[in-house]
Amino acid sequence: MSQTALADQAAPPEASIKAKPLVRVRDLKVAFVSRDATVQAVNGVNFDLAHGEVLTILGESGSGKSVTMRALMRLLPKRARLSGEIQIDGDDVIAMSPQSLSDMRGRDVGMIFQEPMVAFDPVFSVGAQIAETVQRHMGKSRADGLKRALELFDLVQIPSPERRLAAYPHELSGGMRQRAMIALALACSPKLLLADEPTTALDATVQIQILLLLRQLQRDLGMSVIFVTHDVGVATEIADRMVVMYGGRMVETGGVAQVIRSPAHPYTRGLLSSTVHGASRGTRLEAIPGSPPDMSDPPPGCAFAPRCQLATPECTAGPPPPIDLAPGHTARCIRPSHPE
Amino acid sequence: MTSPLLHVEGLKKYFPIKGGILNRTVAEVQAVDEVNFDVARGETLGIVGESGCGKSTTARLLMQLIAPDAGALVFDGMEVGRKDGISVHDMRKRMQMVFQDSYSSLNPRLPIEASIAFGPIVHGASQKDARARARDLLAKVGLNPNQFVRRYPHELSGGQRQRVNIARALALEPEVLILDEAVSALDKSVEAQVLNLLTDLKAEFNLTFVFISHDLNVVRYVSDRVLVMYLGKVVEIGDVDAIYDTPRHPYTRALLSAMPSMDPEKRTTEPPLTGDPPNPVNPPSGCRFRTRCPFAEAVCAEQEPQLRDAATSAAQSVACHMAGASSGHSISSEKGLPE
Repeated sequence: MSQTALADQAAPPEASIKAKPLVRVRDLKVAFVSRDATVQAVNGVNFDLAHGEVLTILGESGSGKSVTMRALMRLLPKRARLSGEIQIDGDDVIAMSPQSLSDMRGRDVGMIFQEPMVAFDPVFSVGAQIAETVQRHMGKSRADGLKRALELFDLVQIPSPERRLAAYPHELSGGMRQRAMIALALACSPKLLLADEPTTALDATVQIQILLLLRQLQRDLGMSVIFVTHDVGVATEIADRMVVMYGGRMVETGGVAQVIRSPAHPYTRGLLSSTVHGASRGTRLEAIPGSPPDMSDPPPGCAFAPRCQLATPECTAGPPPPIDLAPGHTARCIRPSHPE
Repeated sequence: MTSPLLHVEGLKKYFPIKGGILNRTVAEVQAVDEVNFDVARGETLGIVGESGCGKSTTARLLMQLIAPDAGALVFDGMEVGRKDGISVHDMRKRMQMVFQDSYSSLNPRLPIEASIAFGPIVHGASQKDARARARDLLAKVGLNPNQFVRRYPHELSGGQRQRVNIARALALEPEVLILDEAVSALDKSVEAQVLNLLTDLKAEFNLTFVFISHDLNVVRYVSDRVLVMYLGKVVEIGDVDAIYDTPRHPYTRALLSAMPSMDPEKRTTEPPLTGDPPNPVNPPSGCRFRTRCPFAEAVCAEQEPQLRDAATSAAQSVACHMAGASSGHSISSEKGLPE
């Protein structure tokens, strides 16, 4: 199957007809090379992201979801070997010069992380750091930068924003820090927001506030968002489209309702049916046996085959092609479950 | 009615914050304050709450890993730590704990078999018996003894390590297991495997569980009764279905509705609570939840609500002025929480 045919199956049909996608990724591979082993963390990923769309990448640890996202901004360590094609708004990210990359990060693409303390310098106030981004990327004065910071604190619903601008990161509570980090990421009105498990470390009542805030901001600002998570509930709350990753590959793609209601890939089905939500007390959970693959020695065929109840010898022969199940819904499996 | 296996009364723990030139206590973190509950033999009591609520401190107080400032713990009718009761040493043969971080729970220099055999040896078993017990338990938790006895913790995955921790906790043949966020750090597919294992072991060894978690779905799945904590206090306790279907405390209700929706067509539209949980260093006067409660009134700041039976059922107790008829709150409802 040609690369373009693969790509079209991963892209939402309306978007590919109406407008060019904001993000275009083809055959992305990332390997971490060290003396002991080469770990193939991402093993051939293709997707498109339309303007104004929210895509969630759902996967467990080791699936390659965070590495995929960091590859989009080339935020990978030196020992990472990147290949494939990444285009953001028509620009080739892999071929970009360090200067262009530096310009892109923060101005065109913003990122929020699981741990807000990672994003902030502990020795400067949060207001100063936001102002710095604005000064650097948009050439504004410091006074303008601080004005923008105040606007942003209002946008992310931080109470008493003037006072909080002068605070140091450690002086803010968990939820406030997370909001401040979102403000920092949005400072230059980026077209694309990358979110790496931003709510995982938050309490339940704070998590839902942040999720709703992100949804509202995305709608109001028309941003595209790629949101990485391991939590099905979080993905359901925020996604327009969902991608499930396993063993460095995308095993299923579709609209969020399609994937949640009619999961086709055995891994997605296993993941959804082993969630505890709604399970009756006393009955056994349908757990997926075994553990995720060792990516220093990736299986030749389907990465999930060793744990799959439906596996046949054909599955281990080579990576399964994407099969169309419905418009916009694909699964990389030769024995997918078709929707009812 | 049989007496409970565990009876906790008036449990209190404040952590001092020292400061100033003379290192005086300038403030206290009121981590656990006047906590009372019972655990019946053979049941699973789930304890839920967010950060700062005191659930992990409560677990450590039960195991006497930290000494309480006040309160009594009665194990099988015997008060722990008293001469005429049961010693901490003996209690720990009958009650064991599994922690959240599977790696830091194990000595990295000991092979797995030695880690599991450690407890029995300390309590007087012979090396031979302790090792045999270790191999037996490894098999029981689903790990092949021949493969795993010689391995070290860093060679195992998170799920495998947690199984080892469970095996170690069972080595002394306890009656009670305290599971403090034992599955929280595991991937979802591994979590399901470990939960199945815990269900099997509970049945096989007639165990009693105290299951602490922030994950409300998991707590609903495993528990018979649930205790909800907020800022060091018990706000509600009762049968699991009563708590989840008809919560009587505004915080419980907010916590339950904060769970992300699993239905893409029915997404959450409003956050049930705004702001962050307050600091346990200077908790609000009266009811600690009043600063975030939509129904707070003057009486809530003046008087601390006591835990009392919810009018609708004796299977549920709640600490809220709205639950009692004569509390002085304008909304005293026998029927449940207002919208």
